[in-house]
Amino acid sequence: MSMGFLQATKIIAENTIKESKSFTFAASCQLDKIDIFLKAHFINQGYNANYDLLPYNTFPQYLINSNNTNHIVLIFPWDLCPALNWRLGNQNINTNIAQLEKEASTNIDLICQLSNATILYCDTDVPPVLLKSNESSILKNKLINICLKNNINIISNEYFSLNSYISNGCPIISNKLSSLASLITSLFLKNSEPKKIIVTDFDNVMWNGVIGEDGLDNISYDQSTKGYKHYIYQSCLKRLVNSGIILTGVTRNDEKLASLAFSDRNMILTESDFVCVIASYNAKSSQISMISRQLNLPLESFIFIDDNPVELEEVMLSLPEVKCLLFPKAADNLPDFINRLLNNFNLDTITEDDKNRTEFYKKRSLSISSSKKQGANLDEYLISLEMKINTKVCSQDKSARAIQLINKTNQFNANGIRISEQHIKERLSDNLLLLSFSLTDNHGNHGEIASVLIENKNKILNFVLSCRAFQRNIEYYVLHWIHKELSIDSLCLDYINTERNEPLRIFLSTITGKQVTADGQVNLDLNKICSQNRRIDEIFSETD
Amino acid sequence: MNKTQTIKDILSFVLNINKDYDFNTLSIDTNMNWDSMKHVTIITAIENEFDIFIEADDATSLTSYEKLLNYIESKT
Repeated sequence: MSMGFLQATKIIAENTIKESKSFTFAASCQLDKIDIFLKAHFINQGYNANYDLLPYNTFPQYLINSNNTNHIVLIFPWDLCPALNWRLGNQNINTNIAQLEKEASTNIDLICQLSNATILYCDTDVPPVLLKSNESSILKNKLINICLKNNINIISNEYFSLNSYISNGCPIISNKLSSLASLITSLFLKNSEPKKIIVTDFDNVMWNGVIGEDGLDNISYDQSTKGYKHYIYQSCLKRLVNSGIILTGVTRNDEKLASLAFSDRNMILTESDFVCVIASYNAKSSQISMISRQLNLPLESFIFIDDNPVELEEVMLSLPEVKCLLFPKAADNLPDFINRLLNNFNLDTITEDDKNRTEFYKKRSLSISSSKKQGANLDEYLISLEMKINTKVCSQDKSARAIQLINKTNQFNANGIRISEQHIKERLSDNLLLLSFSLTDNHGNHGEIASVLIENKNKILNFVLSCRAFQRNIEYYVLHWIHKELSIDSLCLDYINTERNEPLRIFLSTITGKQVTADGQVNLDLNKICSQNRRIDEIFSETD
Repeated sequence: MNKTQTIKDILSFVLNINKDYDFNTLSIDTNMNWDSMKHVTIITAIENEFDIFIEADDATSLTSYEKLLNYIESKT
């Protein structure tokens, strides 16, 4: 909510609230101008803002010497890379993207060490330190990614005023001070309220591997090398459950499959540790909302953990009240992740009621029905990922990975039919066409993630997509590419329901506008499918 | 609220002066409270209340009630 200056002064003058929130407002710039708005927005939320503002230009020293708890931290590109400071004046700096990225990673680590910090990063334009026009954009995206990986909130360039920054040291445009103060207030209160409920993803979080793809026997969660990170995570969750924290799970999986993993006696967590588990292919935000309604607990008390930045972004956009944490890919980042997780709970005093909380909420959550609610529109986020697809018409000698994908993928798989490598290779020069799609984005190279096997240019023998590429609209890109590049207007596909290919069935139902329920031939009108505006040209670019 | 009253309310709050003050004589030279920090706050409040953007050069010259009023009259 935005308010005017005089309205803010009136709110402060008429304030009778006694309860305070204390914190340090840390930034490298002049932020006195936001004071009145910040105080008024805190009062609107029922608290007095009792805070210290860092003196101008003392932020770097503060990062090294701070012993305070509770922080609001507002950072800009120049806090990650000092050379990007518009007020520096000297742009005669010899540097490159790699150097700046490395420097930003070091500085973000320092900033993230601040205790109980609500951190906001303002994605401003950067000065022309890098002279090539596209290098500045690449750098900006890299800085955003570094922040996202560290669960930092991003605010857009529209808050930034170069004029204000140059003239008085405050980089925030005056007419946005109130909305920024409002955002800071809600994020701070969200972070400072102890969380009560953990919502955890399963695949590659609770265990290493994807149960729907790799099968129960090939996921690991023990003290072996691959499973160790997940073993530690589960141990931590178990202790939190025993301390009264409510544990729930959301997973894009078949329900039976999801519960199967917990039947293993070696798993630290058992099904009884979870108040509820929602296993469906709906948006994670929809699943979390459902848990909130069922348990009658506010979304502000939820913390959501997932390994997939796309899923996290979807939840952040749909449910800004929910705190989101990225489960680390590298084991080296696990201690930091566990620290951040534990910072969200008040575990100082644990009562008998706390210990019995799981049972209490379990009774409340007797039945949870599935939800068909759509998640957030992720188009803007997908565009920011700068996804590049390399499409390859496979020759005999370069078809191994594409064939392996067909024979390995379970969830997004048209029919589960396995075809031998030899059989495919023999027919490649005949009437078979094998397409392979590789993905890179600003997180890195994901390799070959989709394959399509087409017979006589009119029938799809199989269409598979790796589960790590879900939620990115790649399946739509594939159909667009076939339509555009091969001039194919219609295709049929033999659909067979397997135990695990629900994601493919949902996709077919969506694109045909009809519920696909039984085995049989499904006709795809590519003219119609590709005429739907899915911003494919904006989201993806093609590479050679 | 009219422009005159809005400017008076801002100056009253920021400079901590009574609303019956003789604003026509109020300037950075006649009020000791009106320092550079207060000036930044006044400009911020004016921008915010009137939803305008004041260029840095203009901001430095708006150092009295009369100048502020004339500026707002010309911009809104």
